[in-house]
Parts: sequence; C-alpha cells; structure tokens
Amino acid sequence: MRLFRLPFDRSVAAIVVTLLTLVLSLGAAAQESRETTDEDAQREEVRRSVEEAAGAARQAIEAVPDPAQAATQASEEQLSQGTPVREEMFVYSLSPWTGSAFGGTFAPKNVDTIFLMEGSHSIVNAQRTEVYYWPITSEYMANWFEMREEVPGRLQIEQNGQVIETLERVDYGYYYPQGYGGPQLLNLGEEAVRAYDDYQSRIDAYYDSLTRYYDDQRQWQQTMDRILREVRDTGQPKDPDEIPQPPTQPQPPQDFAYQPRQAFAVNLPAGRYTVKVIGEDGNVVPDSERTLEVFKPRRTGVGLGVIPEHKWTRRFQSNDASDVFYLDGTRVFYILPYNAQEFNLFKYAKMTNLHKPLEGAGTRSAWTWVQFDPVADATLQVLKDGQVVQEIRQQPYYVKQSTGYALGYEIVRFDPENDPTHEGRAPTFEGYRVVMQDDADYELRFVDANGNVLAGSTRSVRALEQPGGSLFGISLIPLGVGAIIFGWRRSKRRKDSSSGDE
Amino acid sequence: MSISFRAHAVRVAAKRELRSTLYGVGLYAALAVIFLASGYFFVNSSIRSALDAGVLALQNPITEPFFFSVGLAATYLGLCSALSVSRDRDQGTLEVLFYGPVDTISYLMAKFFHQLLAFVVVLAFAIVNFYVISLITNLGFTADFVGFLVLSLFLTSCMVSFGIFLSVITRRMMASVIAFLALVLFFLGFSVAHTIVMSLPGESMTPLLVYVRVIIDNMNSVMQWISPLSYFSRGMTAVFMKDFGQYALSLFSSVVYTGILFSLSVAIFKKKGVRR
Repeated sequence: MRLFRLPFDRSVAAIVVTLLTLVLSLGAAAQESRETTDEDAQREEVRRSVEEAAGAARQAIEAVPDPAQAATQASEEQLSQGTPVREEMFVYSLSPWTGSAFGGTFAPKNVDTIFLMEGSHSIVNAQRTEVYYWPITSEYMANWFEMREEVPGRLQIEQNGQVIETLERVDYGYYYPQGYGGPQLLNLGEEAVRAYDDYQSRIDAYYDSLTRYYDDQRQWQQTMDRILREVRDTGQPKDPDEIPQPPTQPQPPQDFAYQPRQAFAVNLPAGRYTVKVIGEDGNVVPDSERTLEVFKPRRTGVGLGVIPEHKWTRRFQSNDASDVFYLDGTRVFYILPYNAQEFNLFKYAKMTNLHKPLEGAGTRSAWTWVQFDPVADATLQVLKDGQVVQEIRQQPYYVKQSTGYALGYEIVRFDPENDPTHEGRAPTFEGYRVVMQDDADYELRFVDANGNVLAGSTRSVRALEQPGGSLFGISLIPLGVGAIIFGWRRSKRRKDSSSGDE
Repeated sequence: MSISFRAHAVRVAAKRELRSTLYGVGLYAALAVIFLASGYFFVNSSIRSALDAGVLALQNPITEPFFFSVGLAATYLGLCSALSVSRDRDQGTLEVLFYGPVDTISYLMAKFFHQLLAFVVVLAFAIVNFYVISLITNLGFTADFVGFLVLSLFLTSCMVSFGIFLSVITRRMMASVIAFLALVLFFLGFSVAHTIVMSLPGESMTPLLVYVRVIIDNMNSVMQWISPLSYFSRGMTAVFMKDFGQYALSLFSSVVYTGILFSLSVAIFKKKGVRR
C-alpha cells in the first residue's frame, strides 16, 4: 500500500527486529562459550547458551504487541514529557484490514463512528485502558503497557434496530509467510493456534539443530586442527578426500507467526451498523455503543506504476482507466501493475486513524486510489488499430549507477547468471518494459493467464504533436464567423435601405 | 392563456431574441476570448507538461478546457439572462410587452429558450474548436465527449434559470448583474478552492489547514446543491466512471434545479408585476 504509511510499522518492526536479532545472534553467544577448556563443560555451556537464547526468543515472540496497541502506545519519551491527564475509559482497539495489511488504532469514547472495509475480517476488541491526548502529535494515546483490561462479553451488531449478529471472542493470530514485512495473513480459531504451534515447533527444531551444529562444528574444528598439525609435522599434504566437509549452519524459519490472542473478528457487508458490548450480566457495557460503518470501494481496477527510462526516479501512477499516456517522440518506460481500489478518502483514512482527530478531517467529499499487491501472472499486450502487435512478459530489472563522477544510471535486465555484477544482489524492480514508437496511437492492456483482459487495465497511448501558434489561431474562428455575419448584415441593411430609397 | 398560444408566443419571442444575439458580435467575441484562455491556460500547459516529462498519464486534457469553456459560455449566457429581464423592466419594455399576447410563463420561457438555443450555437463552435485542437495536437477526441456535450446543455439550463431568477428578484439591471457575477464568481472560486484543498497531501497539512479543509468540505455539502457548476462536475465524474445511473441522476437533478428556479421566478415575477 503506497498511499498511507502504517503507523504501527516502526514500533512493531523494532520489536520483531530485536527478536530476530536475538535469534540470529545466538551464534555469537555460543561462540564465546568456547573459551572454556573442558570439552564437556564447553558443550554444556553452548547448550545452555542456546537454551537461554531460545527462551529469550520465545518471550520476545509472546511479547509482540497487537498492531492496535503498537500503533497507539506512548513511548517512554512521551510519557516523560509533561504530565498528560490520563483517563481510564472503555475503548475499542481495532486492527482493520486495509487491503494489504492490518492497521492499528483505537476508538476512545469521544469517537462515535468506527470504519471498516467490506469483504474481509478485521479485529475488534473491547478493552479498558488509560487514554490521554498528546498535543504534540495531535492524537490520543493509550497506556496499554500499564493498563489493558479486556471487557468480558459479546459484541452485538444491529442494523435498523434489528440484531443481525452477536459475536463471541475468537482466537486470532497474524502470520507472515515470507517473514515480517511481507504479506500478512490473519488466522482465526484453530488455524491461528495451529499456525503458531507449527511456528514454535520449527523455532524449537531450529534451536535443536543449532545445538547439534555447534557440536558438529567443534568436532570438525578439532579434526581440522589435527590434520593441520599432521601436515605441519610431516610436511606432506593430505589427500583432499581426507579433509571433512564443514557442517552446514541451520537457517532459522523465515516466516513469522504471532502468538494467538482473543478478540472479535468482524466481517460484514457494506452498510451502517450499531455495535455494543453485552456484558456477562446481560446489560450493555457503558460507553460501548458506537456506529460501525462498513464501506466498499467505489471502483476497482489495475493501477499502474510507471517508470520512465530517462527519469527513473520520477515514477508516476495511473490508476484511472480513462487516463491517456502521452508521449513526446519514441519513449521507453517500465510498467508495474498493481491491484487498485478507489475509496472515500475520509473513511479510508479514519479506518486506521481514529485516535488522530485531525487525520482525514475535511475529506468526506474526496476519493483516493490505493494500490495493493502487484498483479501476478499477467501479460502486457500492445495493440495497434485493435490488433495485438506485441506481448510483453514481466522481467526483473536492475538500475546500475554510472561509475565515476558523472551522474547517471542504466536500467538493465537483472541477470545474475551472466552478469557477475548482479551476483548476490536483488533486482531493483520487476516490471514490463515498453518501447513506444511515435508513429501511431496504441493501446496497452493486461491479460491474465487465460487471455482475459483485466478490468480497468487498458490505457490509450498517444504521441503528442507540437501545435505551435495554430493552437491560438483556431480560437479566433468564432470571431471570424462573427465578423462575416456582421459584414453580411451591414451590407444587407445597406442594400435594404438603398432599395427602400428607390 | 392556452398552451398553443403560449407556445407560439415563446417561439416568436425566442426566435427574435436569438436572431438578435446571432447577428451581434458579442457572442462571437466572448467565445474567441474564452477559447483563447482555455487554449493557453489548459491545453498549452498540459502539452508542455507532457512534453517536458517525455511520458505522462493524463485524463483527456481536452476535458478540462471544455469544462472551462462551456462553464464560461454558460456564465455569459446566464449573465445575459440576468440582464434581460431587469433591462426590460428598467426600460419599461416589459409593461408594453404584457399588453400583447404574452404572459409571465411565456415571457420567461422565451428568455430561457433563447439562451439555451444560443448555447447550441456555442456548442457547435466548441465542437469545432476542440476537435481541431485534438487533431493538431493528437490529444484525442474520445466518446466521453458526447456525454460532456449533453451535460453542458443541462449546465447551461441551470445557469440560465439562475440568471433569470436573479433578474426577477432584483429590480435594477445593475443589481442583477452584480448579484449574478458575485455569486458565480463565488461558486467558481469555491470550486477551485475545494479542488486545491482536496488535492493537498495530508501528511504536510498544518492543523490550521486541516480546519480550513473541514470548513470547505462542510460548505461543499451545501454548495453541491446550490452551485450549478456542481451539477456539471458530478456529471463529468459519472462520465469518467462510465456510471450511467449517476449520469442520468445528474441530468435529472439539473432539470429539477432548473424547474425549481424557474417556478420561483414565475411566482416572484407574478407577485412583483410588470411595472417599474
């Protein structure tokens, strides 16, 4: 998602990075223990270091806060500045699905409308915490770390005065299949528990294999020391077959799973609802009644990120299918297609920023396109006079900076197999390279694997002509017509008056 | 007065006034100035931006200058209608006219259709102007344009009825001209301010600007029903979105707007009478 930077990213990332650093820095901790002379004691020390690191990692994983809390928890620095007035209150903590990730916000008691997106689950929880206004950033903050009480009960959802759903709390957990920073999935119920248990068992297996690895590596090192000693003593080189292969260091799991927690998972069709928490005594929990607005996109399409080859840092977007690409002469550019949706800006901004009163304020009449995940397995077709003249596949590209003092760069195909300068590097971007001639008007469109045109992916391409002064000359046509009519009327009147005189 | 008599009166009066408009130079001069301004401020700047960028995605750059041109032309015709009733009253023509087979409805309808027919002439010039521009620049002349053409007729109907309404409620010619220009400028200024404020990136906004945006956004919820330009703007969005329902709704609401203002004009005109 390119329009809004999710606020919880930084804090959660800090925690997760710390956690992963802890996991990966285990090697150093274990290495230090090798100073011990006694072999058994040495082995025992390595094992203990690994177990300590594993325990610390487990604790860190369990301590990773929910996005809603990570986004709205005041930092130590904020808490130490001034004396904010904390008020204990009922709040809804919210992790709404934004189309690409789960955001984080909360609805203090003065917020009467909550916004969620249609078509997917969002996490809603009823809690009591201390809330205070932080004037420096103009937002409400919650003191989650010191006070976080779950309000027991069920979430009742009403529409037009009728109860349409009553939700119980369910287990939920976020899962990142490609690691933190990659795509985020929400698992509910048993699935959340299973995903977390599976992740935990793989973390445990990793630490077990790490312990074995250090044992194997120590033995390999001892063997190598002995071989080197023998070579040194005898002066005879060893047969390469006698030299053992070093053990391979195990890799930690690349994915990441949150520890399951409990909250309400809300997934409703677009509309206006009333939500309230029904306590264990059957009464409505005070301050829990709010309006819930579930919204949907106004339009759905394919948003294009466009990178002109001659100005690769000046990329631009085209989300509306009525956009036309205008070219000055023959041009090369790269297209990066994304699934895109157009939302009401106010609702989309408020969805993840209820704790910021100014965020999105005054944008009820504005609309915004949001680009989500890249379009996968598509082919770009170039059409001329309605006929496909070229099909372009997605390729990885690498932006190579010019060497020397001169500024400049070159966009080349990323090819680590044939270009040694690409080895160990990642492509700068993956896209579709388009070379457009200025000889005719073209059309670009994306088709899926079955050849179906992706809705909203078509764009016209036209080569511009320099009009020069004729642009303004045309504007004078009405004046010319007016002058002719005026002259004709004048001569007619003159004729009429002269014939009248006769 | 029977419908056929009234229709005849409307036809005769509208035809006479249209002829007078077409034989004058005012309309043509106004169109030339409008097309020059739209060519310079919109078409030329879009072409320059695209040429500077090398490759650029734009919504058809003919659309904005067309909106600007027909908006100004409709304003010009609205101003003419604002002038006409109060001028007739000012000069005493109205009183004389009403001794003949003319009543309030036929008189005001003649004024309305006169300006609407004049706008058809404006549209003919606009089509030629923008078609030739699209040919020489290769900006393109899309099918959406037909939707804008129809829409512009309804915009003009709103503008003209608004002008007639102001002309009826004010007794003096100067007052109606000032009121019309002031209100149209306010609508136009508001529309521009709303577009600019909404396009500002949220991250860089100071709290003061946010409050300004809130005020403008709240005002917009009222203005969208008062300003004739808002009806056209909504219709244009519907054309871009290929949303026929919204387009039809936009046309319908323009008709309702015209109908309400015209009915009010008739009622006020009857109450005020034809004397100076």
